[in-house]
Amino acid sequence: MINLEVPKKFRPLVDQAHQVAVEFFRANSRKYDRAEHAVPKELNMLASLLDGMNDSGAGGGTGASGVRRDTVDHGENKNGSNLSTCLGIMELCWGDVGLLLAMPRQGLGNSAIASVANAEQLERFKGRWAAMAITEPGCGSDSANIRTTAVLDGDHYVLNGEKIYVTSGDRADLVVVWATLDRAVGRAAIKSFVVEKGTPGFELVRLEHKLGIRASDTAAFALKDVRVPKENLLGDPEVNVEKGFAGVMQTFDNTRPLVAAMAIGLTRACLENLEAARHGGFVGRLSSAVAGAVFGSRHAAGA
Amino acid sequence: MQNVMGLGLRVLNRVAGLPVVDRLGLRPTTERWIYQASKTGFQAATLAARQFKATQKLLKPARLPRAARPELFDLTPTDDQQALKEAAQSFAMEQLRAAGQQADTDGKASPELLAQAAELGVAILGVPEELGGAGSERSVMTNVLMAEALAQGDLGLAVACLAPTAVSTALVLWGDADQQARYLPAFVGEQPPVAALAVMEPRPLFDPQQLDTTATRSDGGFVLNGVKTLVPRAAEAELFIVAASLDGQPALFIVEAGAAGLTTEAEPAMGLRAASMARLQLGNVSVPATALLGAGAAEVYDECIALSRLAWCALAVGTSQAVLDYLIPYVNERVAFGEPISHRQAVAFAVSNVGIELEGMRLLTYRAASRAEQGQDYVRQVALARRLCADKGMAIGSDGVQLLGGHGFTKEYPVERWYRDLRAVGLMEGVLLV
Repeated sequence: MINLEVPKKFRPLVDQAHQVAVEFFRANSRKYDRAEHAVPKELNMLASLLDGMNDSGAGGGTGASGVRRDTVDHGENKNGSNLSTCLGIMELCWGDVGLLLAMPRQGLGNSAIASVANAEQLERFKGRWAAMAITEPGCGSDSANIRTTAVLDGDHYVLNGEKIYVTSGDRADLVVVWATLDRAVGRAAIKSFVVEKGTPGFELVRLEHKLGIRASDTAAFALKDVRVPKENLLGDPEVNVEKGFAGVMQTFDNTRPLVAAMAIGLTRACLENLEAARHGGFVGRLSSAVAGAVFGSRHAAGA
Repeated sequence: MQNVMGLGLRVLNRVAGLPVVDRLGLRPTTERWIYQASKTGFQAATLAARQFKATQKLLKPARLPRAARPELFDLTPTDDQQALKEAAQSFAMEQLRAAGQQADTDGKASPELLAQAAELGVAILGVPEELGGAGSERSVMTNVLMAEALAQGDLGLAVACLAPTAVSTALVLWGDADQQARYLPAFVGEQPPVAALAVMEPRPLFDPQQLDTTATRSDGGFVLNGVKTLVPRAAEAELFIVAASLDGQPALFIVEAGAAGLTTEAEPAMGLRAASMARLQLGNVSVPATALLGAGAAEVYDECIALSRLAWCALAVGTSQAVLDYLIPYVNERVAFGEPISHRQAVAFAVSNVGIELEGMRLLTYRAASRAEQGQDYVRQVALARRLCADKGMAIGSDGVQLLGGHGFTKEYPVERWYRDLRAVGLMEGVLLV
């Protein structure tokens, strides 16, 4: 039956997320906006709390649980982790978007691993924080056009290229890097490789200074003959021209709505601020008076 | 085919040309008379109504029970709703779409088409079983889905088809036992009455809470005075619900056609032409005390306005979908400068934006409808839905015209009609209920 209200079962989750937003995010928001690139250490404790919740099956998190093709249910309507994550994120971003992005172990790389890793890889990378490196100086919107190469050499793939705009690139333990096995084949040859921070040749060259979400670090990497064990290629090493790109893109299907959820949370915070300003205090009274003069008395009374 | 007005003009032209008019010094008088006559327009008395008589006695008014409160966030209609929606959609796409242009040109819907629409059962589903209907549950959402589906065929014809249901819905929601027993059986019978909910008045920035139409108390009832505008099929209507100000508060009155002082005047408008809109003039129209609906309570009137605005949102969603479905193949097939125009980002982005805004319109409308039917406060949601549907509905209609270029401006293609019809969404009050 068509219903767009938040289901009762999610109210505790939303309340919890709201408490976190008030006590951790709002409390630290301006501090880490000013101290760009300082590590928000308060979040580590919070992350442990969230991990506990996630593992207990209580839902929440930031989409790091990903989506797997084999577990997609095409049956009845189900209000599952996609919805609960969305609701949690809306509330947390009411708190602070940058701090949400800076949450340990909630990286886009974690979503990719959760979505396409095989069982052995899932176990091996469990509990690690993974960032995602796709964008390059020469390609942003056209991600199928990446130039970072991966060449098989014995038991390793050798990666060469440049990556920019890697969220949490500095703070994460691992970086999932998109590279192509063969540029001539096109998008089907693009695979993701899990690269351990500290691997020789994998160098963080810069952290961006940004207009906003400054609590979240945004890194640029150079890859010079980075040797990655072949077991770190996520999923299937076969180049399948038919469905090649799909596996990687399915990660985005899950996370894109969450970006919209971030916008909603933040917008709600703005709206509440505006309404508070309109009604309360000197600023409120002044703005009411101005509105009244410009638009007529109906508006001045706070209509 | 010459209509009355054309004939009148031809006669007038002949008279004006007669030398005798001047010889007898009649010109100034004649001109003054012509002026007066044309100022008051071509007025006609309302139809002598069918006799509404109660055939059964109800002990208390029959209300449809509320549906169970849903547990889950859900965007899927129930199986019943899906079946009804599909039936309405087939009818809309096969019958309404084909008849839309002619109905717009003629300024009316064919009786056969309206009879077929009645068979869809929108009215009957809204009437409780004890009054001969098939309704088991009050579902605003189902009404919204049906209205949306019909509007996908044609907005003007959807209005013509749904207008009488506004009156039956009002009676089910707010009628007392006697009013229901007297009027509702006709709506589930063989030939349901033509009926209209008249709220709007002809003045700029009309506010339904500030009515110029008045109801003054009289011996045994009320006397109504005023003018209503854009009343669907008013000339043929047998039953009206009229909004009038009683003791300074807006209230709803049941008015049977044929009452003395009740006249109509054709009012062809920019759009919704298939609904044969007309002015309804009330000159000292007497109605019995039993005509007052819902004891004149403010909550009743407010709910009427909210549900009517929600109905218009549903129509906007349906017709905007029609525009989008028309645009996509058009821009993919239309070639300019050697390639489909959809290859140009300006075109592709415009079509995408139609899709995005339409989805927003739909979700806001559904949320308001869902809250209304759950008994939750829905004033804010209706206001949001109306704002978005009015602004974006109008823009979508306009984009439809623009993206078809010159074709968008001619009547050979339906988009100009959909634009004209969509333009009404932000202005209309009353006429429909969900």
